[in-house]
Amino acid sequence: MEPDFRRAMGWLHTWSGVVLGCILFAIFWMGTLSVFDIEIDQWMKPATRLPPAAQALPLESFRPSLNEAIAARAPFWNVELPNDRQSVASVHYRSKSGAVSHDIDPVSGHVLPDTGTLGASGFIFPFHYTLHIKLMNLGEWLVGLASMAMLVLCVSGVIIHRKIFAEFFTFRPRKQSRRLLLDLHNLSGVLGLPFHIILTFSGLTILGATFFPTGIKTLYPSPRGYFYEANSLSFLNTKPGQPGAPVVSLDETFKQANALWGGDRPETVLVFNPGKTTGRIAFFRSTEQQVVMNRDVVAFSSTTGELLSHPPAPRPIIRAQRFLSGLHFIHFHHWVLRWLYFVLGLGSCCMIATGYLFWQESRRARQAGTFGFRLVEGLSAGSITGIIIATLAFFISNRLLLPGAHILGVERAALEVWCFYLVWLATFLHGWFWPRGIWVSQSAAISILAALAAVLNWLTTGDHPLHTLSHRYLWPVGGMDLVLLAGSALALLTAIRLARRKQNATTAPRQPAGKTT
Amino acid sequence: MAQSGLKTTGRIILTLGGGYWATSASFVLFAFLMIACGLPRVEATTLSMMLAFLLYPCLILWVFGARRIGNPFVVFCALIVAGHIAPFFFSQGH
Repeated sequence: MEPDFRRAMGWLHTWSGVVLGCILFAIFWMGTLSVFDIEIDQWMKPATRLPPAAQALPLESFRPSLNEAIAARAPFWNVELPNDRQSVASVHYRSKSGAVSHDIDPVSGHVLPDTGTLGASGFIFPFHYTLHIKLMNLGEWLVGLASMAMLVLCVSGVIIHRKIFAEFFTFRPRKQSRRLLLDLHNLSGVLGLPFHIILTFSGLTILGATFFPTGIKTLYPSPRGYFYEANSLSFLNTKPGQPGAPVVSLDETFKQANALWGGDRPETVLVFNPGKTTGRIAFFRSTEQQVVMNRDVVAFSSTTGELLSHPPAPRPIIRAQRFLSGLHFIHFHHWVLRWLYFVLGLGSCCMIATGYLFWQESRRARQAGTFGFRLVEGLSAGSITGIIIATLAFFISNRLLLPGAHILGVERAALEVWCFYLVWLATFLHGWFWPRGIWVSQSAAISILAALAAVLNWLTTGDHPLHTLSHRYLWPVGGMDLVLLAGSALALLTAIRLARRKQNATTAPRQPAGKTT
Repeated sequence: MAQSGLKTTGRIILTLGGGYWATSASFVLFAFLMIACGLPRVEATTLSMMLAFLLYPCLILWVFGARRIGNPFVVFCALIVAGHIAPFFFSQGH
């Protein structure tokens, strides 16, 4: 390979990494947490920590909530039924004042008290692909740009390496920090390369229609038309219709769908245009036993109960696209694989973080005082350890805020989000104004906050790890506590080692990465 | 990269603007070709969308790896023009 080409790729790898690294870390961190979104939800909403029901509730027991949606003139209403990850059912609809969702007791069918939190599925998961920037879909575009950069980084990273095979086995923790960071970067990068590429590529294909709007508009009259056709949802293509129409019995309608599926349960029941003459009832077949998100949807008219559509098995290309979506969404239930995703996701985070820190270590001697260096130093502190601290602050505020708390007219769920952003901002400021010893102090902060979150869970709900681990239905809560405690120990170890290293190296302070959960 | 800041800026603009536009145009062009070959519209669209996400990083790497950016520039222009003319030639558009 020409040396010029390799140098050009090295330049591209360095600078796209430095510029987009902070966004990439945020995306991968939130994505890694989203692997266990339902489990984190259970930790954040103590009312939903219930044993699974022996018998499934009849669908008609969700009728009161459906009637509320009809009264609120909601454009849709749906219920997600319990499964082996989540023992409660949840209903969702959109009213004029915003999205409404309630958790339902799987035995009595009553609405469970609202904790007042967005939880992982309402905050962490959307953060993963929108960064919560709604203005002109800017967040999604930034995620798209960062993902594209990630693909370029993966390819250019392979090109600039001479000995890719040797890097599988190279890790020298006792060497100087710069060497150690590069080893760790290469190791996590090379070992996880298929994961980095496949997850980035499948993420892009999920949001594909958003990123090429002009292309879709040339091929389809409306982007919605493509979305419906690609997802077997064409039955939603209806006129608004007149209100006042009844919704037929959900259980009776389901019998027909059940016969078509040969006895499978649905994972979601959707009522579209509830209470209108053009209403639809759709049953989404459960896909927890397979990777492909098959979207086997049976749709009925909600006024007559007449079968409207049952799509044929998808053709190869659509099936390939749904396989990629399935790989990314992990809707299938498999505990070993789910943990593997989590660990590999942490590996990606580690790769991004060490890449960032390597850039700084190789410039610290020459450029430590320059504005650009200081800027990146603060950015990296805020975006690596900072986002971890902010996430922990989000969990802690969830356990500390009283139910129904209001401050200055801000509701409880929004207060938790404010905690996240304020703490996050503080970590950036800390990085910019007091960079000396930043990694030691922020690692120590992670250690304290993670342990605090686990202890607060015990104090506020009484569910300590010994209790949660002895009951199968509380494993998600116990698992989260154990991960918090393990992360706390790891962060403490990192902080101690960093502080010791700093004491030894009196001439030039060198600080390697703080890798935590 | 021992280069002036101006040339680097040029490359960045060419990848972000030209590269994206060329990818979007190739997406339309390829989808129309596939439709003309008899693939259903939804499959043609999905396939070319997935391929577009592979094409774009290749174009980015090309712009930064090429010694001169003249070649990528000309090819991008050709793709953009072709992608915008294509809808007039294929009757399957709406």
